[in-house]
Amino acid sequence: MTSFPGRGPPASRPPGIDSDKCDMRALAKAGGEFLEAGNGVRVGGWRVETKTTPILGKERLDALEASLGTSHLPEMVFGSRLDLTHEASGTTIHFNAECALREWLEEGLPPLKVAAAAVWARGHERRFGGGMPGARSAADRFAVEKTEKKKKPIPGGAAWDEREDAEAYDWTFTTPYRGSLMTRADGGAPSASGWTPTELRVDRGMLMERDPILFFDELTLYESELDDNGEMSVTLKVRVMPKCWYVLLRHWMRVDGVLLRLRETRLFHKMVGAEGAAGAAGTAVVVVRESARREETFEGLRARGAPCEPGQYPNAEEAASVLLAAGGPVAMEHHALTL
Amino acid sequence: MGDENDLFSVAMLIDELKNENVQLRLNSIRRLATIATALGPERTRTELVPFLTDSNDDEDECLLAIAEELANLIPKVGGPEHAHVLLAPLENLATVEETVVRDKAVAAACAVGEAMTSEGATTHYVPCVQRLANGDWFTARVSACGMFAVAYRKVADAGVRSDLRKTYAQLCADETPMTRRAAAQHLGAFAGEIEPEHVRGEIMTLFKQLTTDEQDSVRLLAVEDCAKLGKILPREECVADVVPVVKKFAADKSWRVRYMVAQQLYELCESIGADIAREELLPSYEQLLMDGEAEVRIASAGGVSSFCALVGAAAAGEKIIPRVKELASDGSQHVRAALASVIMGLAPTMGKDQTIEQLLPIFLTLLKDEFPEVRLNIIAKLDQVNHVIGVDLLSQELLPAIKDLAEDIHWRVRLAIIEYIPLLASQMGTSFLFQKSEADGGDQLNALCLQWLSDRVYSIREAAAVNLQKLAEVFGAEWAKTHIMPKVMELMANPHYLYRMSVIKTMTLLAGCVGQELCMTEILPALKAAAKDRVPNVRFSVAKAFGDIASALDRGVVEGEIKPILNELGGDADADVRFFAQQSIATCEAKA
Amino acid sequence: MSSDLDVMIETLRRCEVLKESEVKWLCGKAMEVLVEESNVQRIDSPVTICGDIHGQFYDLVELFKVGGDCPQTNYLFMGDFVDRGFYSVETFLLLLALKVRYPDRIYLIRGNHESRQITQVYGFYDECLRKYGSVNVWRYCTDIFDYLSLSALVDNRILCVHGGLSPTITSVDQIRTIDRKQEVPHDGAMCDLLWSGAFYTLVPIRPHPEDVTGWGLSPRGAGYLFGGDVCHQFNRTNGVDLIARAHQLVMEGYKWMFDEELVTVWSAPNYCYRCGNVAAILELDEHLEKNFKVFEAAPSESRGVPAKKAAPDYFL
Repeated sequence: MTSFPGRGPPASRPPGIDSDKCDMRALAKAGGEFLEAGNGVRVGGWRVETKTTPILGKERLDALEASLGTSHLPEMVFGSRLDLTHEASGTTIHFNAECALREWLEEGLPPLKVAAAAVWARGHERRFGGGMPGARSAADRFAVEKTEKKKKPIPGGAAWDEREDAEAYDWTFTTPYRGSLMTRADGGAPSASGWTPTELRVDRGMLMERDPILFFDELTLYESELDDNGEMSVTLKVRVMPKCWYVLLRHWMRVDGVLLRLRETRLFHKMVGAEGAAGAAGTAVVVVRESARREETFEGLRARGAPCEPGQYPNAEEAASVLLAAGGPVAMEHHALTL
Repeated sequence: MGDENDLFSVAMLIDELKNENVQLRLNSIRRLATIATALGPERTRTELVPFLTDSNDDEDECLLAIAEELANLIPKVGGPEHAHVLLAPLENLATVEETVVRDKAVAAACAVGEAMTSEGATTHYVPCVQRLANGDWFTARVSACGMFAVAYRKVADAGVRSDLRKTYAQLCADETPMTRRAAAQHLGAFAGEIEPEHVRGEIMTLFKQLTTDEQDSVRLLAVEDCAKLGKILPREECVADVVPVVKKFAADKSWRVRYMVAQQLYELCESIGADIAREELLPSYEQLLMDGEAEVRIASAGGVSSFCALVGAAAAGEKIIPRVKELASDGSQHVRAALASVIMGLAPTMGKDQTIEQLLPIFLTLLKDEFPEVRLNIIAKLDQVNHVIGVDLLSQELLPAIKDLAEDIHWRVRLAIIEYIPLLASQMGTSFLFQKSEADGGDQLNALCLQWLSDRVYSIREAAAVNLQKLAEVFGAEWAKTHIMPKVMELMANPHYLYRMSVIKTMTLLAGCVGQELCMTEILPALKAAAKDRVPNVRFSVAKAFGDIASALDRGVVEGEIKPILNELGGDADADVRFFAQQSIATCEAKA
Repeated sequence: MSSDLDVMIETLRRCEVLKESEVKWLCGKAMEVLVEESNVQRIDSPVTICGDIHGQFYDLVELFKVGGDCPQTNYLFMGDFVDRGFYSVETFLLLLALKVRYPDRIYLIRGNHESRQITQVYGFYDECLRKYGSVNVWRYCTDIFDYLSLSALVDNRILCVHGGLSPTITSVDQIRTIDRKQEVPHDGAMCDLLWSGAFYTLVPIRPHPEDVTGWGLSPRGAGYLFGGDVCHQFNRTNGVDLIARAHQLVMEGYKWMFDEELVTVWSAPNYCYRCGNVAAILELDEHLEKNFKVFEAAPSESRGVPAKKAAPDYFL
């Protein structure tokens, strides 16, 4: 960071944006308009709209549980959403917690072990014998118990409850979610061809230009304290510029002393007519999607000499920049959506 | 100052200005004036100020402190003729990212400019303003806007002044909304320094330009200029140039602009006078009262009484009261609450007959509102109506309203109504408290006052005790003896210690205002019994109570009745009981 | 001493921090008081039982407004005084100062956040550093954490503990044998008392969690979950009517489970300034009659912490 004297604003701050997240003069210049009804803009053939809400109350949580068919939900699920609609084709790219959680269930990662698990398991074994969940599958363990009956009984005569193991689930709520596609109001399959692998890339040069931001918002889909074992969140940022719009979806998880997981999905669209836009002469409208996944064990970070205290990764934002600086392998994928 | 120790500590302070630790750096910055005194003006100018100018601090907290302290260095650098050296560090600070630092730097720079001579301002202050106004970063340009008024005031040269006006015009048309906002924000103050002919010409052009800005936040700030310009301009020009803008703003497409107009309208009307206001702006006000956005209606409802007072009863009755009637049943509870908090103030303007005929039905509607804050706001302002029509006309509705509030599920609502009871009681007398309920024939309000003493929430019980004390002060010992004491005594039988302690608190407070006789016959025996309570908390409450009421009793009683009990409690098994007993014994002895 | 302390208490009640030297002195005094307390601190009714506070100072003030001031009302706080909220320092020191001033009127037991390791990640450490410019205050406080009792037993009838039960503990006497003066360990009885149950309740097996029986193992690989029969068995063995615990956010402030043999009490309203939940305290009178007092977040606090507004930036 440049420093006083003469310290100017750091490059990250836009030159002018209104408190209602919209630079109206620049928006008017770009031929767009602010959506009076909701929070968003209409510009360059797109309608970009967000909605932010507090966490869901009991009633809506119950409904969500029923709809997803699970009883394990993060403590903080928001009703917030982001919709980007291409008006000519009626295709909407939308983001909400329910879809993200549905994909968490589908992904169904095996449960992670917390840092204290090994120590804890030794203590447990010493006191009560074998039968650790995870060491064997639930079915195995069940069989073992039936046949071998090796387990020491718990003092007081209570029994281990087997159903608990069957309930073993990914308590970090890790989701492969990268947004959903929808056409018009009927919610049917998109008329567009869908996401296909591409050589196109997010134009970072264009994103670094200090063009006015026509619209900006930031929202959370869901979040968990992981019962004081770390934290996780699925958050979104969106900005609309005269020449492009850009979305960052960030799945962030830290299990203290164990694992960092960062899944970032970037959506980028160069407005038709913008310099160098794909098919500038024709009519093709292309959205580029870049997916980056990285996972780092705290052990691995320590071995590389990278920051390895949980407190050095306090939230998604800071963790992302620390990880970027620390280097390390990132799995990348690129897709394009042609409308 | 000046001995070796001081010089040594100054060296340390200077050293600490460079310390890694933010706290130490801050401490040192806070003592810049001391350092400067020790260094003397010459070295302050040649060493300390340049050091601050070149400092590489990137902690906003430190920068803020430096900006604040620089203003105090004016006398330390050698007074007005040297003050300009302080502009160098301030100019840097005026460009940083953090708004609070910039604001503080601008304030300090203005103070420096103010302290300078006219020549000094021309050679140093004005160029500084011009540099900032032409800065690359919008932060510099934003800061510049706040420095023009001082520059213009200090400098008489027509050419320099003309340049300043031109630069300001440039800032009003700046690319970034932040700068235009700052320009709009400071336009009023700048205009206050400018020759009338230029205000009429150039400044009004800028004003009109800002009032049509695309950015509603710019227009918003231009609204504030209306009231300021309204005060500067002669009345005719104001009517010709400002009033039309206000009218336009009142119908702006951004509700935030209309909200600002609703807030500023009264001030403007005041400066253009009642007659013109009635003619020109009353329709706008009516319109704002009916605005589609609740926030705007809240802001305009808040000005109803002052507006009516300005335009007079006739116009108010014709134009505003009908709107007020609508607002009383507005869909937004916040609008109704805002209305309820000011509507009683209409009574003096409208006079007795109109109040009874037009306003009373509205008061009654609001007293029955489903939202407690609306009812509370009416009750809070009853005295304003009391002077005009008396409260008898309202009392039929008042009691049920109070009863509902007294039983509201939110304890803060209950607390608010309790706090109004003594006022209501003193205005309306005992008959009000003992009005019989139509349902069960009980004296409603008095029963409520005692019921609060058993409320689930501690703060309500505390307030109930104070309330009973105040009522006893208003109505006297005899009244307290008949109407309060028996019920209070009954409550001592509560099986829950916290409720018994609230009763002890009540008795302690009453002891001071019901006279010795009642203390001896009622309060003292009850406290004596409570001194043997099984719960230590109750026993130490008694110990404390004795310390508090000792002053209301004869010395003989204190010695003969109270001291023995306190002595016994002083040997209690519980440490806190012993502590409070000993404290009260000390109080009693101090009295003796 | 009491007048110095009274001045400190008044300072803290205004949500102003003490000087570092005062904190050091206070912690020294607190250690003298706490070292005398048992792992199962015996408490006589009446007493008001409170759950997690998490540095929400203004909501603690609200709690006192509803439940009564200390020392008028007797209190038991079941841990998690620090982390997450903005005023962990003021919150913990106020409770600690009250403890030193009125040791028979207020009791504090340890929560899983009263730990060196946890506070370094979840806020208290950073807050101390920010407010004092050094970690000394954090050191004094975390040293005191080791002296906090692990549980409390009201009239021999109600067992109060931050987290829950442990399969290694079948009788209250076994808790008494723990050497508590240490950092919270990663396993064993002391860990379970502060952490367990949470695994159960944060992973509720809906729709009928009460149906679950026996002991379960957390999917996280550490910690136990316990069912209604475990709770019932423990209570019967120890002649206890009820287990009161905290540790878990409950939207309604308190929650009965296992045929009213266990209750969760949560005392941080609008948790983290955005969850929108109400809080509760459990008032026990001298006849052990139970009364829940439910309360909302302090209005001044909600004004003091404006909704976080997204600041536009050129994110990449």
